[in-house]
Amino acid sequence: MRRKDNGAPDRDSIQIRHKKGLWLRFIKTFFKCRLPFVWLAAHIVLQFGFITLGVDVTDKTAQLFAGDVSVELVSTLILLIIVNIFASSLSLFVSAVTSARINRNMRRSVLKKVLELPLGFFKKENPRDTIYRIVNNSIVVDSTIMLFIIPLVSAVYQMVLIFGRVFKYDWRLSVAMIVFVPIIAFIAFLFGRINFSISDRDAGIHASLTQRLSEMMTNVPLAKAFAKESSEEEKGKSLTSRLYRLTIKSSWFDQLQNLSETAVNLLQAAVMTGIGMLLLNDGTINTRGWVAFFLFSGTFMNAVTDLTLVWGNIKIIQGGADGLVEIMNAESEPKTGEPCERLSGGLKLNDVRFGYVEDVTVLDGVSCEFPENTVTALLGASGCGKTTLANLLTRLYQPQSGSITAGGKDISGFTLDSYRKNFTVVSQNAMLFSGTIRENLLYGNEDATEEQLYDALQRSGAAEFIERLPQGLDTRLEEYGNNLSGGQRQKLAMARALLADTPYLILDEPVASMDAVAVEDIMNILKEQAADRCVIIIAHSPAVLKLAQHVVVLENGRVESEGEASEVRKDSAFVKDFLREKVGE
Amino acid sequence: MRAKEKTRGMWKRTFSLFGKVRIPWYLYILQVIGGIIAAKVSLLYIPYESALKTGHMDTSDLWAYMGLSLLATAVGIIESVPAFYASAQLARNLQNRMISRSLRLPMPSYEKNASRVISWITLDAGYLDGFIGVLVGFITGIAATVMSIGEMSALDGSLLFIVPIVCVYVIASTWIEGKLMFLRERRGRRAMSEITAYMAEHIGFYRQIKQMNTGKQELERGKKAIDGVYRADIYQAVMTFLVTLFSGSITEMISILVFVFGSVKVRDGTMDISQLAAFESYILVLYQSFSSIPSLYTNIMYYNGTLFYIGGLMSEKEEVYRRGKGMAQQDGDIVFDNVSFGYSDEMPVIKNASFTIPQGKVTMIAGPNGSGKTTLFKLIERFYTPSEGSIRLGESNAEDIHLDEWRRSFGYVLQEPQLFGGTVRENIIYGAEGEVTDEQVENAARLASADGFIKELPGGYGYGVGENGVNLSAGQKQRLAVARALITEPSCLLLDECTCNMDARTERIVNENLFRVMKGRTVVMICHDMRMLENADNVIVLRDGEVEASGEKDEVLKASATLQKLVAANV
Repeated sequence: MRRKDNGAPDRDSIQIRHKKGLWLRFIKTFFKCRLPFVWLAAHIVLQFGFITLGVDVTDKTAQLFAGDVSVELVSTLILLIIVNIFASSLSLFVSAVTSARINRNMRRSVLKKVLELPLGFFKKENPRDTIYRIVNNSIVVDSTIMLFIIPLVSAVYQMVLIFGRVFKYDWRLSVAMIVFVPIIAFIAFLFGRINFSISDRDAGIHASLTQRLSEMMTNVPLAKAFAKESSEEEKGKSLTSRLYRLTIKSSWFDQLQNLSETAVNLLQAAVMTGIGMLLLNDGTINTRGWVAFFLFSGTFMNAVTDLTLVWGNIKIIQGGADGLVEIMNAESEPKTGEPCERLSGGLKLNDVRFGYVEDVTVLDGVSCEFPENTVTALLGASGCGKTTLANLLTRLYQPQSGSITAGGKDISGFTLDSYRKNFTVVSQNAMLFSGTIRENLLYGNEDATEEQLYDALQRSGAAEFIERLPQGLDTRLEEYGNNLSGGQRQKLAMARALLADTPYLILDEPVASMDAVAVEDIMNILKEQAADRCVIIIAHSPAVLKLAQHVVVLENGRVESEGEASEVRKDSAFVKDFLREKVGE
Repeated sequence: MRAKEKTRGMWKRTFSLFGKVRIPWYLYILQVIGGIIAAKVSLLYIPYESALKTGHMDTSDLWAYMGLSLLATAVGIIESVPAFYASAQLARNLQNRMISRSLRLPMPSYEKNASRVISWITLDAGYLDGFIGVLVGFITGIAATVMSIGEMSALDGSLLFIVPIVCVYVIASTWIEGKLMFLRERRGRRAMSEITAYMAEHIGFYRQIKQMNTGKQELERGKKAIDGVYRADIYQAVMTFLVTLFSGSITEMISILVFVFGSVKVRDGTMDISQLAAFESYILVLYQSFSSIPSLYTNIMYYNGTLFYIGGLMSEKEEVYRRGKGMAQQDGDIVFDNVSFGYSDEMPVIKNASFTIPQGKVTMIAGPNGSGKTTLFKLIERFYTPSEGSIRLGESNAEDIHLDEWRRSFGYVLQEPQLFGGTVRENIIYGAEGEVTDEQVENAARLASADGFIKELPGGYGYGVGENGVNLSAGQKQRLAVARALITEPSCLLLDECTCNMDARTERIVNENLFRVMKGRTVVMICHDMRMLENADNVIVLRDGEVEASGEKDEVLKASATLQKLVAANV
């Protein structure tokens, strides 16, 4: 099952509650990603120590308030308080370090896993947002342990400890203390349930409203071009007033919840003090017992509140746990197969069928050839499956049936790693990142010499503009290479591809943003390159047809015609039509 | 020096917001009143609580204790209702102002802010309420502090010396906390922004990483970013340790002081134990209310930081829409007179461009990549103002003509059109004024050769195109953009590579329709396909931002070496 890409995470979490075994699988993933067990143990010991100390402080305070103002008691109490201050700070410190270590280990494991996944795991073409969210979500393990498990255990430990202390004074007091706990828990649960479904729905609406607001802001240039500022402003106002009503509604609900919780707590306090006073008045307990009971009942109630709050955290956790479990249990790209050295020979498809989703066939029995030492043009209308075919050649996806061979050998027999080393793909959307031009060029080709670098720049035509930059190769690119023009980015990508020097070179519509002169230049480079390799160019520019030696035409997921360029010009209806439209032949 | 200036500017900007946004002051006043009442109730309750705490009570104390607890709850609600109304109303008002302003920013200011304005509107609009909330807390804090000192002096004036000690400690620890927290936050933010940048720039190219087989390299880089966050987390842990040691221990400090000095007085017999307990409670109330005073500055600066940017947005100048005159029916040629322009001062994109785009004719703008063709279009649309020279329409200077009317008379179709997440129909009628009939929509779609594919979509014209049109192919999006431009019946059409993603057949049909419909009106087109020269009357050739040649097609073909080269490469 694929993850929904932009739906509200909270909607997912509702389904999770019904997904049996999620928690078990979730806990199992903990162990896949080395947890810092030593730190965790230290944290738990400190936490328990801190709680125990706190109970002692309350006990001694009770003694003081009961009238014992002896120097001995006061100094013991003060000593305890000071130790408690240190214990609390230290406990926080250790807990923060533990969190940091959990998060680091989780992020590393998740990132590693993400990089190993097959592309088909992600529904979207560009899975950036999904991945970003997943890696961010990896803190869910930390939240589970530090915001759920440990606080839960701590609160229970504190309650038990207090119950024990109060029991020592009188058993009836301890009973009075716990009698209301189930009711409080029930109310918290009830509100939790209602709140869950309300806030779940609201979160969905909220997300879609903010989504529309942000889209509006990205489309400001469009509004300007059509002079629609005022009507857009009206739309914006209606969005913000819907957001406003939503906020007010949920605030009122919070008030209601707050009120009912306070009411129960008050009732609880009334009953406790009432019983305590009765026992005090008839002499069953002494003042000290009463004071201790009064102070402890306060801390006890706090522990109960903590417990209900902790349950609230479960919602945060569920949202993220789903994604994490799914990704950690997803199947990685296989590492099996035979490693291959530099491959050679043409690529051949035999009756290949493929579709991204069931029922929608993209390639419907494709058989064709990309001969070695040749530039092959892969042509076809948009949506005919050209890019999909390239994705199969680089094994981003597996054919559903049929086979692909390289130099006569089935490509699925090779390890992915060694196989992909034989390919370079240049697409319209070149991966450039902030860093120097040199760093960008050497990405994927660390071993290239300076000489090879200049050679590749010359041949790709990038040398011309780089030489004009004051810092040349050491010029820093901004994010995504935003300080270059589209054509310049393309040339850099081309230079990087030439530098990689692989036996197979695929250019996926690289020429849309290049002028005719540049296209011709590239085709000439390619022909030169094709002397000892297999080059595939996916495009529909006339210049490509003119210079390609071999042509494959796809139509509706099938091969419409294939052969030498001159033959295809004669045979293919698509190409004839194409030439008539574009060049007027 | 600069930091100081920035601080001063910061206050100015934040306060400037007060004049620009409607603030529900009466709700904030209610909050102050509610806060003071709440403080009073919590002080009233202390004697009874202390009696219970020390076992010196009777049944009436218990009832009073219960009654005051109930009252405290009620007051709590009275206090919080105006608070959430105020917060939601102020956020909405500010959001509306920000939306209105962002829509009317001149293009350069919009581009400067575009990526962040979204989070300002959706996330940070609540900060102004936070800012005022700090002031509200400050006022109620002072009131509660004064009231609690009054109660304490009524109880036992001789222990009052503890009050200044607590106050000094609170001030000192707030100061230290502020410093440490600042360092902590800064370090944390830096590390997070590194990991965010890594995600966007590297993992964003997931497919390419697979294709280039650089997964291992990326894992190493990613681990570096992750370790950066880890180190920042550890740094934060140390800071948190120090902070809690100082300021987390104030209540314990108070207890110690009260117990030490109070127990002496109880032993003397000058104070009873329940008074000691009450004193402790009073001083805790004092601490809580007083602490809002020294942290005022830190808290305000926190909100100020974000409001600085929002204030910056709100003080940006809006475009001036109404100018001297409107668009006349017969406007004449578009004339560029020695126009220069660059997005930044160092890098001019257009240099001394002079040419004429004749009215009612088809003009083609040709030139190699990066020669400034699209920038010319943006200047024609008046998204940017030339840094030198002027643009004229007929006899009038463009700057004198109403901006909205000007833009409405141009239809602009981009290479990568912007669609929004509504239906096909909504996207097509976007630019149209008033009611649009289905016939008009279908007619525009037909001219853009889009009616065929639209009818096959589930829901037809009601089909949701998805955010930025993700549910459509690039060619389909271009066809919708053409339809959208045609439905406004522009007097001038600007086409920027607008058919480059269509297949050859569609491209021919769309072009034929365009030139037929626009006959007699002005068309300016950017294209790489030199076949389109056939349709052009005039040509402007750009090279490196300079006009190499312009004028009638045949003359330019003779004069321009660049154009000749482009044509030769194409056929």
